[in-house]
Amino acid sequence: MTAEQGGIGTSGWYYVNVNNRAAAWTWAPSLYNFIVNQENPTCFPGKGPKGYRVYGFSSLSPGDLIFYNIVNQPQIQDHVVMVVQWSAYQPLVAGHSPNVDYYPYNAFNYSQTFLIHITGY
Amino acid sequence: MKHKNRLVNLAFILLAFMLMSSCSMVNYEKNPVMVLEAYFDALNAKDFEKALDIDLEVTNRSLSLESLKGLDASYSDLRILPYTSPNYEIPKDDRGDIPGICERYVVTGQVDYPSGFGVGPSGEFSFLYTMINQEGKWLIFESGTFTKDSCQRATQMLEKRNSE
Repeated sequence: MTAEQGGIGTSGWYYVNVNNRAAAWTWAPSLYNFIVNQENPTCFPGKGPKGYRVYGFSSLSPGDLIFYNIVNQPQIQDHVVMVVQWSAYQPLVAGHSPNVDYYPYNAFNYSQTFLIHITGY
Repeated sequence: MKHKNRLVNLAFILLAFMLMSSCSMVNYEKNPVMVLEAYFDALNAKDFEKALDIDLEVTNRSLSLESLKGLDASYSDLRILPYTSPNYEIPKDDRGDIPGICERYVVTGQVDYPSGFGVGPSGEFSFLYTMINQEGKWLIFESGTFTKDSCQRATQMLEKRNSE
C-alpha cells in the first residue's frame, strides 16, 4: 500500500498531509497502541518509533514519552508529552496543546501516567 | 396650553432619543461562552478566517487555514461549561481560574469529519479551552489539556507577547 492510499486515521506511521496521515500523529490512544502493542501497520510495516512501558520515572530518558489519563477526559490516554531533560527531581517535558517546553511533567491535571521508554525507530 | 403640550411631547421625544442612543452606546462584549459559540458557529459555517480571528493560539495562519479546510469538521450538540462548575473534578492543587481575566471551559458534543477521522475519530468529543480577556475582549488563549497553572501561564505569556 502506498502513502497516497493510506488516507486519514489509519494505522501505521506516516504523514503526507493533513488528510493523509496515520492516526498516531494526532490521537494519543493510537500512538500508545502503536508503540506498546507493537501494532502491525499495513502502511509502511516496520517503520515508526519502538518502545515499551516502564513503571518508574527513573527509567525515563530524554526522548521517552509520558502519556496521561487527564481528569474529566474520556480516553485512557488523553495526552502525551516528550521528556526533554531531567531536573534535580523530575523529568521536564515538551508538548503541544498546550505548548510547553522544559515543563514539569506533574503540572498537568492527570489521574494516571503511562511511561514509555523508546528503544529505537 | 397647546404650546405647553408640544413642549412636553418634544421633551418625551428627546428623552426617548437619548435613552435609545445611550443604549446603543453600551460597549457590549461577548462573554467567553458566547465567544466559544461564535467560534464553533464559524467552523460549522466554514468561515475559517473568522474562527482564527478568535484564536490567539494561531502562530501560522496559512497553515492553520489549510488544516481547518482539510479537516472540514462539523460540530453539533454543543455544551459549553465552565471547568469550575460542579460537573468537573478539579485537582486540589490546581491554582484555578482568574475570574474576569482568565477562565477555562469544557466544550463537549459531536464532531463529524468527512473522512471519519480528524484530530481523533468522528463522534463524541471533549475539548478544553483556556480563555483570556484581552482589553475587554475574550479570546481563546489555548486549547488542550489544562495544567495546574493554566491561567498563571496564560496571563504571563500574554504580558510577554504584548510587551514584544
